[in-house]
Amino acid sequence: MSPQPENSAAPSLDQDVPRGRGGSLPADAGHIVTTFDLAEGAASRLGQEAADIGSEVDSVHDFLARRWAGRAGREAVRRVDELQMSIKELSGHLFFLSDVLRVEGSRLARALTAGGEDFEVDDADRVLAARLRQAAGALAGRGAPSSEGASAGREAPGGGDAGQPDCVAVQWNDPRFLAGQWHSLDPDQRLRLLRQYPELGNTDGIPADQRDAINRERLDRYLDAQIAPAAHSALKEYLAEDPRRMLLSVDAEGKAAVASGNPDTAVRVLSFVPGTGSEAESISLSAERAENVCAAATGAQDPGQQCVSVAWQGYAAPPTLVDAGTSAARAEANASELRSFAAGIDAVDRLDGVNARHDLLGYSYGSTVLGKAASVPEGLAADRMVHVGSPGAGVASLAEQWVDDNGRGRPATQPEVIGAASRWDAVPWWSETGILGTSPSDPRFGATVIDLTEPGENPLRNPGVLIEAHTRYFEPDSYPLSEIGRALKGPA
Amino acid sequence: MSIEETLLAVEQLEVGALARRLEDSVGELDFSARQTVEVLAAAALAAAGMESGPVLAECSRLLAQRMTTLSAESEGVVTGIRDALGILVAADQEVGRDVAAAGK
Repeated sequence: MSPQPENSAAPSLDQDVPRGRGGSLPADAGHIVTTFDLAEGAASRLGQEAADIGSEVDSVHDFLARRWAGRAGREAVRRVDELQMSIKELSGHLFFLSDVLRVEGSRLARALTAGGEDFEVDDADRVLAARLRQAAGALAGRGAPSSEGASAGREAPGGGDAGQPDCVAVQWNDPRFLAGQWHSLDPDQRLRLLRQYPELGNTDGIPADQRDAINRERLDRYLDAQIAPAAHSALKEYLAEDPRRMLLSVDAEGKAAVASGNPDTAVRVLSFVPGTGSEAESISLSAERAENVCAAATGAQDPGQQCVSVAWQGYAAPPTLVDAGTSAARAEANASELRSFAAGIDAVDRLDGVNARHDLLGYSYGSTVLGKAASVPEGLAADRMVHVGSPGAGVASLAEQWVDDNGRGRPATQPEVIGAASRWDAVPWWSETGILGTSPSDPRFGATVIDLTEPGENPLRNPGVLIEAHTRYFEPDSYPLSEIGRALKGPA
Repeated sequence: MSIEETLLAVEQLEVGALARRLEDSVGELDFSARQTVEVLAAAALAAAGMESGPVLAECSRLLAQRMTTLSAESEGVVTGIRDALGILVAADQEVGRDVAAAGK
């Protein structure tokens, strides 16, 4: 390929460029916003593409290493190794570039479009330039320049020295700390951590595109090892159907979270927590339901990147109704995982200074997980918590629900917690036993209650309604789905 | 065709397919990279007059350069695999000839 872009009018580093608005302010701030957005998306996608090829090179390497011996064979394997390293490095550098454009680029774009003070624009421009120099250094293969300037005015959360990750006690279980910490690292520091900690793909607080790249590689390893082949094959198949999809987490047993696109760049995110009988093998069903809710909430047939839906199968759901109905233990055991996941999405999203909306929906037993996740004073990072067909939210009332408001817990308010069910759905009646707590669709809970009963539906005329009501909430163009969408359309 | 010859033919096919796939994938990456290079250059142009403009242009230029290097590296790998395969085939044929000669 041509080493130079077609457009040779782009300024070079050696040019003496007037600085900031005191010099020559770009004529069209809106154009900057658009081109930065495009550049961020292109860098992220190219990073993903490179990561995919990295996985392919992995398989070439494994094939040759297994079957070839001798000098020529060893030499071929060595060169494949080197290529693999180059591609992985490039992928990491592109994720870095995309991350910088998303965060520091957005800050500059916002300063420009808001018509802020000169010094605000100059400062945002200076920070962006410093971080882009790190990207340039990495792309040039000469290592990143000093972090000085790049971290100007932005001390790493926790007060650590972001430039020295090896000397920092990284708080892996604090997504908000980690998001800031990760963002402050330069490309080489990131690569070093990725080599040291291959489990970073499941670590909340790392950007989604980077997680996806790590997890896809991990998924291939699980498939090779045949650990949980049915679950992992289903995930692989689901991801292959649409290149925009992302694997936000995966483990050996098949627990996973998949997204319809990049939640870090979305205008809104809807995470769906499925219930009894759900597993990675059926992730496409949960993902489809989540996409339907997104579409209903945005009024779009293909919400695309406007509303990114996430199917969160990060817990081992009870396999049968008996297991589900007799204990909230599984919900309790995995509530902290959901809390951490939501905090991670929120923390990465907020780095650019804009808080995108993130709603969580717990369906059936998923509602118990959702309620349990919000039952501690740290709270759950959600703009809305929607309980659909809930057998009980694991707590008695709204008084036990908390919101993680940018790292600070506060009691949830009535508009933030929604209980929705059809009156013909038998599952919410289970909450009368108290085993799984109270259902938020019960007015005694104190949530906003939405009736999802289809108008005119009568079990006396159609007894099947009593069986179907619980499974039909997310059918496209249905009354319940449109009501759920309507509830989510309101302001955050 | 002997069993050895059959196995070798299968090996040739498999490795050949792997090498081709690798070539294609890097080719596709190269194509996408060209687009990203252009998008970055456009962002650089939009930000001309600011400190970040020239650095973006530099990123664009370096990405293009990096892809050229990567493509060459990948070409070298594919050639290496094919060369190694050639040696394997030659070695096998030599063994075959030796075995045949010993049997006379």
